[in-house]
Amino acid sequence: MTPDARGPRPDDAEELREAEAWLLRQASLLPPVPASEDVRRKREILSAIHQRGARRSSLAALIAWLREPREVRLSPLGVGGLALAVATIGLVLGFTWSRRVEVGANFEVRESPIGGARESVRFTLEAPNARQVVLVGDFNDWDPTATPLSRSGREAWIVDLPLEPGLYHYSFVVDGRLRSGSGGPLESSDGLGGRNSVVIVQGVAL
Amino acid sequence: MIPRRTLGIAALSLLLVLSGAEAWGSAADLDARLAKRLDPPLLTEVRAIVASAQAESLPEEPLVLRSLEGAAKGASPPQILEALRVLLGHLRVARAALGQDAAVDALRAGADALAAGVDSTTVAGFAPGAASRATVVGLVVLSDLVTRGVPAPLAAHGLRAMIAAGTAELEFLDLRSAVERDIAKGTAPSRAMEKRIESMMRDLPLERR
Repeated sequence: MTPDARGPRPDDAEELREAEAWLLRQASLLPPVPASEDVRRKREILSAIHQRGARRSSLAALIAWLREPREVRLSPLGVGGLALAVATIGLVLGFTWSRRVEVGANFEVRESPIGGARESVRFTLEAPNARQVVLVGDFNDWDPTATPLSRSGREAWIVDLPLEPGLYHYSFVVDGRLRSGSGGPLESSDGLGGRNSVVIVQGVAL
Repeated sequence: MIPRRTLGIAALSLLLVLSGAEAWGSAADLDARLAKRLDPPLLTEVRAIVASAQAESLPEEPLVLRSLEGAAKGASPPQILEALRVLLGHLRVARAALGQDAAVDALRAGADALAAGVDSTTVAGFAPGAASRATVVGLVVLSDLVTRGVPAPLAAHGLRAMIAAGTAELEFLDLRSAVERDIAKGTAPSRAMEKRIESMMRDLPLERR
């Protein structure tokens, strides 16, 4: 590495100081020039920063105002109106959410469509928001009172049915409404414009 | 001593009486199930359709179940009667296609396939094993695949090949699920079916292909 590369020597530094002083003297003799575009932009940015700082101060003031305990006066009628408004919003939101979940991905059938011989077939339906689920099908003469499902956990409804070997069409009644095409693994037309799920129970009888 | 011939006639008569009583009991049971749930005017017409199935030795149970299903679903009497007439027609065609020895469930599965739009010739392709469980599963899966857009002849060809190869029943369901997944991903139904059948047959031992 050369000495120049390391930095100026003491003699060079003296010369540099003299040159800088000369340049400053010359610059002071020049007339003032308008701010360049670059300088103007820098000023704008600085101004914006100042303004943001001012806003931040306003926000801090608002937070401080909100955090400060204060007395609120409401008439009984006002309290009632407020409670009614909150309850209405809750009901509307709850109803909308409930409908969305019922027709969405959480509505699912999981039973095996081919049951084992001489075993109960488990029918499972995921309907977290349902209040009542009933199984109807060939095995109970489509009687909507014969085979209610029990809640299992937070989302599923189940029932175990001992079925003879054979082919059965079935569907679910959820909160009094019969589902067409309940999402079972096998489906078939019901001849009435809708669809049924199908389960085949194994055994020698088929 | 009672002559042997007389004994034989008496035994035969008893058998006929017993079988007649059983048939009558069965018919009475069917009728009671219908009467419990159908209005009298509808019941009369449903009885007539069930009787015509009985006269043709077609299974009555699917018709009884369809009428009870219609009532449970709140279908109107004309809708229920139309559904029964269509089902009776399909059971007739299914028996002609699958043969006299076809199991009741095979006839029902055949009728479902016809309702899904499968033609009688394609259903008849399942006749050789119409008394077997695999045929019932095959026909049910056929109906399902056809409703998902798989061409019936292609689906039937693949399923018959699986039946002939002695494929386990659960594998029919695996095939159906795989085809459904492929269709959901955007594969054309016919291509999905071809691909899955090829894959399934390739995995079979040589002696079963």
